[in-house]
Amino acid sequence: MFAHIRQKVLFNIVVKYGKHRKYSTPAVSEFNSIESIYPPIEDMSFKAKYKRKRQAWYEEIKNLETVEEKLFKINMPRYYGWKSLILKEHVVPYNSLSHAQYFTRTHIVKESGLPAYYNTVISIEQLDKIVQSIKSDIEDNIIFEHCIRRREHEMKVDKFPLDENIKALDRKINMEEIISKALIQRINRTVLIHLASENPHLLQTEIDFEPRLEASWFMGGLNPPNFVRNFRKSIKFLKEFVDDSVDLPVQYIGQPVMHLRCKHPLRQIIPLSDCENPDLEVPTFKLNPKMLTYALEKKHLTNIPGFWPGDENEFGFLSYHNCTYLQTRPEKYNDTSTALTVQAIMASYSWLLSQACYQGFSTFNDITYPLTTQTIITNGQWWSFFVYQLNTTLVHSEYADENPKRNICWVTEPMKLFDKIENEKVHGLNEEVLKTLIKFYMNIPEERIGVELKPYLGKSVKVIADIEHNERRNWLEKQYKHLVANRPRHRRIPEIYDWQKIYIIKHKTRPMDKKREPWEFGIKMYKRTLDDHQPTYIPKCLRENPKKKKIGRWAKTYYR
Amino acid sequence: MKLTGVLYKQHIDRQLKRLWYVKRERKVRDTKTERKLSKFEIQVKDPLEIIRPKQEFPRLKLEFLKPRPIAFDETHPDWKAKACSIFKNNNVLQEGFCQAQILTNTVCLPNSSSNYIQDLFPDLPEHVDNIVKRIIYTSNIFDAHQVKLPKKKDPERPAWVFPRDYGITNHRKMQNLSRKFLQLCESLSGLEIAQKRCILYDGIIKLNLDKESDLIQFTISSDVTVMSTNPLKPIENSNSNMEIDLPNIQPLHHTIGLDKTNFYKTEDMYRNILITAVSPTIPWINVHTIFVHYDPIRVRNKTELPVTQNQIFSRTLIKTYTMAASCARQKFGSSVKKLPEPVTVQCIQSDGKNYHFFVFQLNSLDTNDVSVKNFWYPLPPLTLYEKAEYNNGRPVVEGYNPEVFRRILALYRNGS
Repeated sequence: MFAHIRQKVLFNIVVKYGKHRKYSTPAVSEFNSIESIYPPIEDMSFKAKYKRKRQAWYEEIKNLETVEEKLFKINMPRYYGWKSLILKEHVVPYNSLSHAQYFTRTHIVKESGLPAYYNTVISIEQLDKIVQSIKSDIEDNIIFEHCIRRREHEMKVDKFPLDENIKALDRKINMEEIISKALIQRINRTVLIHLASENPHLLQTEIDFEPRLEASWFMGGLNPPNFVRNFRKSIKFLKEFVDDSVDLPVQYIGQPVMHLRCKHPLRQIIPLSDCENPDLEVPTFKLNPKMLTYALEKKHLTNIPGFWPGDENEFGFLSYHNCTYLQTRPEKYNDTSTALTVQAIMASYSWLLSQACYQGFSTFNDITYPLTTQTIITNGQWWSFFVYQLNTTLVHSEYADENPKRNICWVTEPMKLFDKIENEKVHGLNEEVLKTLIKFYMNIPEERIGVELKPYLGKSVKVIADIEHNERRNWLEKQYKHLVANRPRHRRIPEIYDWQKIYIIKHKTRPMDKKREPWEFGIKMYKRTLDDHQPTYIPKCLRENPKKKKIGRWAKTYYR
Repeated sequence: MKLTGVLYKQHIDRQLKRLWYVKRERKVRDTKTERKLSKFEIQVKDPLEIIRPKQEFPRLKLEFLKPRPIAFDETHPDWKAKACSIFKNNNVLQEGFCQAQILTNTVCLPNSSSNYIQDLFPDLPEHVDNIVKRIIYTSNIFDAHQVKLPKKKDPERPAWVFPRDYGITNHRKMQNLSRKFLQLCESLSGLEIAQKRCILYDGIIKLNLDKESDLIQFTISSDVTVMSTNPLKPIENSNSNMEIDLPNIQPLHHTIGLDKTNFYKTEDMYRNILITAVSPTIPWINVHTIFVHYDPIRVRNKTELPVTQNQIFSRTLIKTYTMAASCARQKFGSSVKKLPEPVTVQCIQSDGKNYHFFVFQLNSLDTNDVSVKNFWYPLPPLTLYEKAEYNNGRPVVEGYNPEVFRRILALYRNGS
């Protein structure tokens, strides 16, 4: 009893003494003449916080040293891949020009034809001379592919006796595919033979046959879909942002016939400052792209311009594409040139964007100098030429509408290389096509002096192969290739099946069921991050110290 | 000691087995139904009067949306009564090079018999070597193609399942190398030579042969074919080298290992060119050089045993022979036997790494006549590189051999 009281007394004293100390102030305060510096007052609204968080992520991507790590980082937030819009080169929906322009922020120059820059590439006399010498060889090429090569037996034999109309269309498409590819290779070969001896840049060009072209970016400024709107309505502080635009990851998968690459970039056609002119119109397309018959798919975003990082010829020179899909479009709709423009814009933007990614830029970090490419789409007879200048890669969130820079595309109308073939003779060979073609080849790439091409990459470490740390380099190399292969996951992606939606979520008809699925425990599986997995197990015999049970049990990972 | 097992009385299976014995004679017992029914004045009829006979309906022929597949029997348009032995693109001969020699009536000339190709190693500036190295890098290492590669197997532990690799296929690597090498050859040789050449990719060729009453057909694809306006000069006179004999594979037959089929077409095809449209318009009627790609994944033995080097050469010889024979038939008519002048073809066999070079001279198309033989002249093989892959996370090309491209260039320029 006594002890108890004493303790209480003691406690009171301590509390009083402590309080006393707390309220006391120093008698003399020190005078500070230097103005104090405070951190800026941050806007604590939801939007501003969200934006800061994103900005920090973009900075992290920018500060990474190697190309592959940057591309890896974009995929880190999603274990099962971003749910992205899949654009395929040979799927061009009707009325999709404004979509293609808005999604790539491209302005199409109204006057059809190549920019005036191409008149300075080669003198007229020289051009005429080359055209005259090359003409007969090109004619031979056309005759060879159209008349002399026998292809009927290359067609697969039909397993079923199909309808004649279906057969005829299939054969026509198949034949055009084969002929256009062979003719492109043959014409490229002829042009190179004629020009390579006098132009060393053509001897050094790298030629890729049917390369892998993939590009991905984030598109902003889209109208929110209904499920997003409903979600926003259901949360108090999001109610005011119900109609705010959303971002959508986009994945493009190309099918080029041939790529020509050089060590140095092509010269810019107009300076970067001219691209900020507000007169350069870009149409808007804020609707859900699903309405154009495009589909969404879960995919790891990839940026591959046909080669892995580390190849020295990393700038595009010329790309050839074919257009077999035009065969299935009825002629009465008369939208061939629109479809070709859509195909060219997508193909050129994607190739340049993936090249820019190899220079250390990304869809979040804008390029600091323009990149140019030349694109040819042909079916063998009709040739369309495009020139594209990439000035900006920023199209995500607010940049979709507010970015002052625009990409620019010059378009020529489809031209006929020849009128018809009769009795193994080419009639009406169009020299204009040959002239344009030669102008493209004679556009000499130049080293950009005074421009830092890779400002966001490390000084000595630019690709994974430059990393000194053995284990980290091997791990990154393996994981990067594994990621971009987009191979299917070993286990199925968890989902809410329709029957579960109906009988468990909407109508609680099965209260006694055991909970097994992740969503029943409130886990959002689609938000699983890429590093959210058990590392590889190392067997005891392979560990450094086999006697230790916990040490060295799991393989190291190098996610960043 | 008891020799038989105990028969359990209650064994149900034994009872079931006994059923046949129990039911062997079935007696029709009088159930007394008829008498009882007639007591109630119900009429009893014979069942056969009431039962209707089974009706046979005609079978309807229905045409569904999906048509029936074409049947492989006598009704097939390509069916023939006489079976034909077919050698396809990915086959190899069971007995290897000896069998191919007998089939094609070819003798192998000794290695140093003649100095056929002049200027075998042309002088080239150093930057060409850099370009060739770059070509190796781009086709083997930096090509971003990723397709599912074939399953890996370890013979030591065949049940072990390896994770499937994604990468560049052998086929694509070889195709890229050959195309890029040829492109470089053409750019270096200039307009004069290049205009005399014409390059074909993946043409399909068929050749029919009669040998000792056997019908043999070679259906192969020429991976890369270089054609030229001028024919190559022969290695030696067609009547020389009589002393070298064909090998003997007795007691085996020369068609051993070939597939026999009754479904085949008998027409010849020559490197995809319409036979009717030859001389006036096409200047390139001579086969100059062919590239034969050997892909260990596709080219296999029927027995699943590993393919030997000898068998690979046999495939190369058959391919070269087919090309030369088709060329000869086109030049001298389809029924020609002994050629007025020999047809010479150069051949480069590669698996993307090792390069073998051959020259083939076709003297006679008569496979039954052993008095005139065809010549096969091998040049020493070369290796392009020791290693070209991602090693330890870094792209590496080791042991690059600059002679390979020089020899390809020499073959390309030969006979210009």
